Amino acid sequence: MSIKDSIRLPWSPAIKLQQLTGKYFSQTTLGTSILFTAAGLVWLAVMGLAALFFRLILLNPYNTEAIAPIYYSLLTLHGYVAMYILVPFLTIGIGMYAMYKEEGMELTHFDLVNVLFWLANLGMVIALAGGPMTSWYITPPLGLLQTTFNFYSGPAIALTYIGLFITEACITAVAGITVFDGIRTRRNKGKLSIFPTYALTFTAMIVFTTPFLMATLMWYTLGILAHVYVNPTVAFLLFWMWGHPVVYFVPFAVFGALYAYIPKFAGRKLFSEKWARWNLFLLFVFTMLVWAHHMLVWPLPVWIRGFVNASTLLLAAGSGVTVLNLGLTIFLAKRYDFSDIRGLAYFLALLGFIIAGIPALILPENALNPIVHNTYYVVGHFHLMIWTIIILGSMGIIIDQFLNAFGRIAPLSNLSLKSIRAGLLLWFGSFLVVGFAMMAAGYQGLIRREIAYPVEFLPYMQTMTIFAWLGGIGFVLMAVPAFSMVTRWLVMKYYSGVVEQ
Amino acid sequence: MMGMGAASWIKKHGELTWFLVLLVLVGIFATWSLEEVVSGTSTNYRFGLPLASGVPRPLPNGTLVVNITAYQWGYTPDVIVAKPGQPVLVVLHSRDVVHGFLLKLPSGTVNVDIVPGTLSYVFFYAPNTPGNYTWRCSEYCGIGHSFMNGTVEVI
Repeated sequence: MSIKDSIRLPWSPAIKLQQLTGKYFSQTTLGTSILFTAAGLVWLAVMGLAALFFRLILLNPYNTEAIAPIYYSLLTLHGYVAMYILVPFLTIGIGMYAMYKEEGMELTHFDLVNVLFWLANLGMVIALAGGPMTSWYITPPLGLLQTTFNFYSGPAIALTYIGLFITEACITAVAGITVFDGIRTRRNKGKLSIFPTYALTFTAMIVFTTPFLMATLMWYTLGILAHVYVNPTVAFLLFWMWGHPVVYFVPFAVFGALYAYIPKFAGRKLFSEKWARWNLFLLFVFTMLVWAHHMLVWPLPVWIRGFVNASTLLLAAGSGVTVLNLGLTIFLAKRYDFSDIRGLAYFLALLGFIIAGIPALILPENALNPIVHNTYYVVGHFHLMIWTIIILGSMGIIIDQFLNAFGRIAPLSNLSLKSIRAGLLLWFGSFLVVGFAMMAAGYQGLIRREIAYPVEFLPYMQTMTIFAWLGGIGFVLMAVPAFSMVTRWLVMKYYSGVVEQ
Repeated sequence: MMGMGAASWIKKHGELTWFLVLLVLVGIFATWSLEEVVSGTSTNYRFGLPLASGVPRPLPNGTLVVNITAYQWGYTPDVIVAKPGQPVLVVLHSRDVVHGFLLKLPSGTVNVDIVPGTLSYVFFYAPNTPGNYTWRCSEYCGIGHSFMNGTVEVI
């Protein structure tokens, strides 16, 4: 036997890898879109549980510093997961689904996208393993201090930012691949339909804006490992150049679904397709011009604060046009089909967007912002947005997605439909109460991110906690039937004898 | 006749009309807001302005000037003693991380962030009603964030 024969492996690595990726990697656009949205729902459950637990801590207005590491770790996990992974995953999943469903556009780089997906998740685990207590804003210099981390010590605290960098780099790459593959595989000519137009535009926005975050994370890493000076104001401005656009990734992608499907449930065409298409330019451009409105109480020159005040109002006008367009579509319809759970989800998403958006109009105003900056008013506003347009809007799309993929294998039973409908309404109603309790408390001066607070705010905290738990039950009612469809599909894939219906 | 023409023009160009209406409304709102920003005429903006852009020059006679340092987790000094109606200028500095200064007064709210390396300024008139008015840190600054506060004593 030659030396070559003696070292030959019993199997070929290339073939083995192909078998593994073939078995465990998604190989369809629909499947990959579900990979991202389903992972988003899992991360949502994780961060939601963290919130429900830290809300219990807040039932005591006299907490001492002893509880602070637990509280701030849970709070940071909540914020990191929401903004750094959940939001981009939902955006990408919606973008892939929109292009597949409406235009037959396809991904082609499945193996690469799957690898990047898992790396993105791994990056988040590395980031959180250090027990960061930065809150999601990672404000410097707080985010650079060792005392801000529970488990990483010394130079290892940079691992949190390296982990986040890995996550964001992978997400940016997937977003770019999605748009690139989609455009390459487009078969139809003429205007792209409205849902993929919006969804892919805001998937592309990930590529435009996430590099700013990556630059911030790299700067922090160099600050920790190489003692490079990190200017707090410049670093924070750089952070917000991603930090504001990120809040629009999902809402504006969901706008596309609302424009496409609300007319169907209203039984008439969209009031103005032209508004919807013109508006896209305004939303895309101005999203990236408003970021410093998060720093209106910082020592910034007056001209910057004036600029972002005005540009935010212009962006708000764009959102207002969307509300007017969809509102008129529903108002001028003979009836709206609430019996379809997707129709209900989209309607609640739109209604929630209006309810959450109106109180926010004071926030970009330089004159009024100081009354509520860093109070629960802001927390209530953005959470109302998240609970409605982001989560309920995404749920409508995810239900559509799951029915498309699994509907023949596991169609939703009457019990499932009732459960999802009850869950949508319980989630919406409960979180409306939480959001308004937050805004009322914030207006009266309840500061965010505190573990001890004036006792007069205790009734507000109790209301928030009770209704948040009710909303959590609503999530279970929605998510269990949806995930049961995935479960049945998995069973069918791995066990013989289970057939499609 | 001209009215009928205008009405039918608006009906035909509905979308453009609404865009123009919105543009005008936003223009008015934004211009008003910009004018406030530049002149500092609104109540709260005058009362809490980083970079000293709203501090009156020259300072009114009898202004109490207080230099405060914020740190993890407290303020030095953490008490300001003022007479009713007395003008107060607070110059804020941080020696470690970003802190906040949120003070709710009967006449308005003061809310500024204190960024290491830059001074922040707060100018207000002490309330006419004697009493204690508490300020708190509004910017998350670590595990002691909830316990950072100070008092304006008006006597």
